[in-house]
Amino acid sequence: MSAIFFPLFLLLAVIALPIAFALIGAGAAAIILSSATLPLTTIPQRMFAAVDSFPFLAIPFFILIGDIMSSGGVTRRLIDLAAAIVGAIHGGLAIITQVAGSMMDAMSGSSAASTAAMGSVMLPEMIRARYDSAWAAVVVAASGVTGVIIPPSITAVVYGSVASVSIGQLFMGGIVPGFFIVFSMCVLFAIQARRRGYPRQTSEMSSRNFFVALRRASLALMIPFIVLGGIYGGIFTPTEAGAVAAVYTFIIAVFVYRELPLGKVWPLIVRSGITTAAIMLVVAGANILGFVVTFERVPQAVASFMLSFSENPAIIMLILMLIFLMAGMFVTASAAVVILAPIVLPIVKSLGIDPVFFGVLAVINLGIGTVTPPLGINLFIVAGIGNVPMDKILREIWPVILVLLLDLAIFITFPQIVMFLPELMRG
Amino acid sequence: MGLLRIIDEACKVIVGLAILVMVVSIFGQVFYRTILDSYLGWAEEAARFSFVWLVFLGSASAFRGRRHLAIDFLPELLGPRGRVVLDTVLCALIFALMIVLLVYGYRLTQRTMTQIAPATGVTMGYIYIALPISALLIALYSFVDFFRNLAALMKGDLSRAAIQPNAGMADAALKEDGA
Repeated sequence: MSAIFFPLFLLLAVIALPIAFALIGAGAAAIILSSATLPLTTIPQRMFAAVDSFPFLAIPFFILIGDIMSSGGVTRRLIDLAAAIVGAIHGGLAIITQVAGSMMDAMSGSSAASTAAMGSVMLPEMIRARYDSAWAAVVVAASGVTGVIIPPSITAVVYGSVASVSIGQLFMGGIVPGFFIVFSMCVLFAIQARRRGYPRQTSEMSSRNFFVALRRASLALMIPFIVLGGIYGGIFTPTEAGAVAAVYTFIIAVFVYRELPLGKVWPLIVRSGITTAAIMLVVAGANILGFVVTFERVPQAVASFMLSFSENPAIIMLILMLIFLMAGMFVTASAAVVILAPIVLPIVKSLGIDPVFFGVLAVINLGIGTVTPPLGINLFIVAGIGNVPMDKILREIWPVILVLLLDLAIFITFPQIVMFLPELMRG
Repeated sequence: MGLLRIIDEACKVIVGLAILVMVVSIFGQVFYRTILDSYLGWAEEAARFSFVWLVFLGSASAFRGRRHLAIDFLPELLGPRGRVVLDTVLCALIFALMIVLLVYGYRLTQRTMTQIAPATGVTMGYIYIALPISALLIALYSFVDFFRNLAALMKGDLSRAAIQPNAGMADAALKEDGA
């Protein structure tokens, strides 16, 4: 029955039927046409079982934290802080975007939302400073790549739940590679800015400015410490960390910073709930796929097919990375994870690759997919916000992708960069 | 369309309330464990069941706002008229799928009316029923949108269609926000 599932799923998805419905439709067809008599109640049963799972409850919390912060003036505070730190570098605004973006990523779980928030502030500023508009758009798109990599990451929550891997360890594994990527982007943009003669933002570093900006942003900067410190210290689970951080963010945005009126919080809560529902319906649909593939022993078939090419783990790994990269170009990261994980994980495990290591790399690939032409979602977001023609953006994006692939190669060659923190957690 | 709007607003209120219940019970769970060194037995179940209702009713609302994740490669290639035609076909497909989900989801719900959740004592059927209700609502929305699109196509007035055929891809990408 999997013979009908995959072609039908792809057909339905390509004619733009939402992914969740395509999964349900292909699942129903596979079950009806199965040689074994399977009841159709399997479909609602599998969907319900996928949703009724505690770790997923972290998703709306991490989305809500990001939304409250962008509406509550926290974005501006982070940008001011980043300006005080890196403003004295050539092309300062581009570097500020990366640094402030990475702080934003460390607090919110959603990539598209933080790209949009950062873009709506920084794109106009860069264009006003006479940066090339396509280059500026690429800078903002690149700042969104680490949204799925730096914890808390919704994609990591989804991968951890689907693959039964510790979400806490996935979070820890994303920290160093995430900031490594941010650093490499800063280097790239600083070199490019110098060549193009873009000015420094501030003439010199002033420690007074820095401390003022730090104090103004300090309460918001506590959020990653609550989340990661709490998980690392074993005080709470990722879901509990999300709930605690959501309450904390609500209090500082509404009562301390007073930049978010209480009446505007309810629409944000509802919005985060509906965004979560859209993600979770894909997870629910993919759980039907999970049933079909295990029933038909698809992972075993795929594994023996791939192992017939090569038994070298490095080459298999490379192929798997490529699959995730391409998936990241077409669908959002969490959708790619739920669809691919049940098929790919048995292969990963049989090769003796650590599923946490693989998970972090898979998420990085999906992050790179968000800026890879022609379909990377972040490219469309910045093209829309900055009103920049797509073909100009495509000409500027290649150095970014090259550097990202170089970073990826470094992580594969030196797994310690990824695994150092998770292994500390394993004790 | 007044009735559909009221239904959608009700769904959104339930989604928001579900998040509040989740926050309060999980926060309570942490508080009991870390500060009081005690245990709040019903908290996890209450949070999980709220989440189930959130996902299924939120899905219905997400469908009405066309916020479900989709590959919008084909719509990008089509003109405004083509997009409305495509949306009409998709509405018919979704309607058929949701009827299947409604029927079998309802059967599953009936079967779970005798199961009791261990910590909260809630009848499981009242949690399962969120799924067929969601299927019913999405079927309803897609049914209405199908005929709205059809009417718009026949009258040649695309602005009355169920989707805004001139919206750019950036809007769609932002709406997706699939993280």
